Amino acid sequence: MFSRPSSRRKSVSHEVNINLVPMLDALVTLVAFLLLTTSFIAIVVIDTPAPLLAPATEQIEKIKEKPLQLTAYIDEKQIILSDWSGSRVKTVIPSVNDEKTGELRYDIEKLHLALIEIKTKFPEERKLILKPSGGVAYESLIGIMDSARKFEKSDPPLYLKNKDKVGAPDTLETQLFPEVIFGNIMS
Amino acid sequence: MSRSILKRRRRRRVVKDFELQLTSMMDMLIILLVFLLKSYAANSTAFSTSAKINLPASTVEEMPTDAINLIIDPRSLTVDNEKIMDFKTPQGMSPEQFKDLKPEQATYEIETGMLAESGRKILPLYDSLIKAKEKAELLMSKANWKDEKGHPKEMPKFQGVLIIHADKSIRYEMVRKIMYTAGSAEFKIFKLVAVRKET
Repeated sequence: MFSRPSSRRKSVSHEVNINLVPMLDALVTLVAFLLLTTSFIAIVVIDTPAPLLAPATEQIEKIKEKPLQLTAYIDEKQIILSDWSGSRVKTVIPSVNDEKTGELRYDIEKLHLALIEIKTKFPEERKLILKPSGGVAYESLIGIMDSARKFEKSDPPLYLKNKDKVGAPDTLETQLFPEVIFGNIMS
Repeated sequence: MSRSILKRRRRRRVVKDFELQLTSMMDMLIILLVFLLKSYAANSTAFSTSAKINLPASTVEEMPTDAINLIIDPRSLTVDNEKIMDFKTPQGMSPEQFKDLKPEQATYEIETGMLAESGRKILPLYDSLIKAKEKAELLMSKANWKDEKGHPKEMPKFQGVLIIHADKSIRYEMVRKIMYTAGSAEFKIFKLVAVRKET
């Protein structure tokens, strides 16, 4: 007599295939949407406050503080830096010929070094007044503002004494003259 | 002849239950999606500028905020997507040529009738900025101002921020006129738009 066959089912291995097509559809749609709407050029803005005429009482107070009034006079051929440290000190930075194009351009590197020198002498000063002539290109002004606003990585570090706490470590200054103002807008 | 028959036979020998391997494609798409989502998050505010201008490059990292936009393109001035005036057509240029004016050819000259205060103030721009300011103030007055604890607080003053989009070749004379006019309309902070330059 034959024994009854086992009721235990034989395990059958099924290969499970996930249907990826709908997910792929969704991904393709999403990628297409993002590609269309994403901008790959980063737009930034440079702040410059409008020069405002302070009330007479404030002006008298400011004069007492003896502000440095660091001013950059810019014309097509040169940049003249002038400040009121004691007597009016002037630094002339003549434009140079560009190595690639041969055209006259502002010596931004020299200007940056001159500004670092002034900042080292007057570490608390944050303001630079620009007085460009009418013919100066906007692109050059942006370049000048860039070089005046902050220290480059390759620049020598400037440490400021911590005024709040005695014995606290000095802080590294990263800003050169962050407040760049156009001084001849109203004139 | 024999070669072509062999090719045809090979073609016929295609497996019927052929399945396309989608896994590698999915991998690629997910990597692309992550990259796009990451670059999408960097631009928190929707910001557009004119395609007719070449913006200067700058190393600053400040992103634009929501404010009134002024676009100086080779042909016209636009305040918050509304064209307010056209510049003069350069001498010897036909109206058709003026339509396709490139930034390098632009003169940005303004009709004398549109200028005031010794040519420093641009009247249509002044009117438009005053309107934009009034509109902004009206919107601010309608908002429900509350402090951190939820108590009602005073409406803040109009900040007067103007975002200026200008071509890199434009001369300072024109920028000065714009800033003078905006200053007269009580705009106190100018934000100059640039393209970020990698350092």
